[in-house]
Amino acid sequence: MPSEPAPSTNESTFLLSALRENIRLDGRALDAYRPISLTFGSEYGTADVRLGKTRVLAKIACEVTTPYPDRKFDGIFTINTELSPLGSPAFEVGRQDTTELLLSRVLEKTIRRSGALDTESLCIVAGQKCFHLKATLHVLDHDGNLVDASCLALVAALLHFRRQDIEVKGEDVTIFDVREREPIRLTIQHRPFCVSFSYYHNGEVMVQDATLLEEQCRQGEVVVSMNRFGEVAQIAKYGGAPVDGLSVLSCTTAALERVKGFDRMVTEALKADEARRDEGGLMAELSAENERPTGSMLVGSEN
Amino acid sequence: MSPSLALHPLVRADGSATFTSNLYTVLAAANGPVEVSRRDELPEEAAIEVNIRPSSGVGGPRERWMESVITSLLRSLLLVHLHPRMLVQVTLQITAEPSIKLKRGVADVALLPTLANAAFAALVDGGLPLERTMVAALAVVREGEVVVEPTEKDLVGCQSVHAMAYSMKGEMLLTESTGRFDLELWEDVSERLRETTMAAMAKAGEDEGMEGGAEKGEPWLRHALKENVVKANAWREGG
Repeated sequence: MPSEPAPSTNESTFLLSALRENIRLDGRALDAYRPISLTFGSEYGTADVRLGKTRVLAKIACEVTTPYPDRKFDGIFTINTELSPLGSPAFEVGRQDTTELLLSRVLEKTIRRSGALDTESLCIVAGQKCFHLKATLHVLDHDGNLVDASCLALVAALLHFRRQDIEVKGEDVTIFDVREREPIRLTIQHRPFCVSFSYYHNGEVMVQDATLLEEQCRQGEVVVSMNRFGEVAQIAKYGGAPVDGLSVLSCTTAALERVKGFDRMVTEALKADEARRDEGGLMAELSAENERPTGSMLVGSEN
Repeated sequence: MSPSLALHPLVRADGSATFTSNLYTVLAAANGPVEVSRRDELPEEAAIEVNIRPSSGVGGPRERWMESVITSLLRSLLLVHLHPRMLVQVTLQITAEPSIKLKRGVADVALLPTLANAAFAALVDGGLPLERTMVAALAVVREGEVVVEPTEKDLVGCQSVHAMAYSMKGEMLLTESTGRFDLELWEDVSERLRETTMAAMAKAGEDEGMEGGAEKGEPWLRHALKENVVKANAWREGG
């Protein structure tokens, strides 16, 4: 099946006339999201995001390679978004369609080019060795709003990931296994999230978190990426119909509220995951830090 | 530990299943019968397309080889002649792998039973017409001893790895082995695996009667499929 079957005329007219009265087919408010759940896998760097029926799994892997000759002090960070027939029978294997292209472009702009990940911290020996961080997104179910779900999954996975510890002595590099030394977190400078708005009736109606049917009927979309401090990473507008400049401004205001919510959710999920891993206070026990001798102990040793 | 199987975790795919063995977790989705491209169309039967997606990165020659093995296995399961000039599409996504880095050849064979079981469960869930029921299992030979359904540690430094699949009638549908072994050992392994797979499909109550039935594992496939049927027929009960 090369493309998603288009909704029937009846379906789309009904949806559009309902939207004119500010009613959505699933009864949500125009600016409401479907229920979101974020879970982490048993290994570091896996995040599973469910947004209504949409489901995205992000996985981070890391290996040692040589850096690009023109970027000697930087590690490599790549994002791979290959859609498979798991998500929808319309996705073909080995053929890039527009959904995939737009998704990878938005993520590239939001996360890579906004400098969310400090690639310099992935450098081991300048010009010789660096970490190559590979992020892979698996779209398991596609029911609209892939961009927001993927971005959320990717940022959460990056925050969850730990890379192996290294030790550099001159030219010699030792990479410690996860069992030998506690792996370390990545250096994340800020957490950008995407919020996409679909617009209808020449920009009169703006809808957040569109389902697949709503996406198919929309005139165009505006994707805003920002972090919780309101710093905009990118704004993209796709689709033919023009949008009013002022409504883009209202989009960014609405996006900021949403992004703050996302940020809080990720922080809480990470905290819960850490508490789950640290059952019985094993982390405290593994700490290599020596216990400071107290005064009475010192006196005892003198005797 | 018996493997775990969950049917229909996905919404969009016609049939889907998550299968977890001791080593891997695979998420399978089956779509079919769907439209086939002119190039792959077969005039008298359905074409089968299997896609294996590694947990990170994109697939390479190893995945292509595994795809060819699974495709030929599925061809012996599906009633392909019922859907001529159509396509049955199976996508297998690996979601969890052993944390220990295994040798390439060992890892390839070790993955096959998980892939096969997941693919089969997805086909069942998708309601595609099947010719037979099957279960695949893995065994390793380690220090001269056969270990069925090995753990990560058993795979490291083993002599040989064997992946086999049997139908409910005890017919061998798949055999892939790697490592050092002779025919006698292979026959021993295949007999052990036949018992294990038969136990997974055994009728309830039948395995208790058998000698040493308990140690061959519980009939997990039968349990999972039965649960599915009960769930599907729940609306009739209320009537």
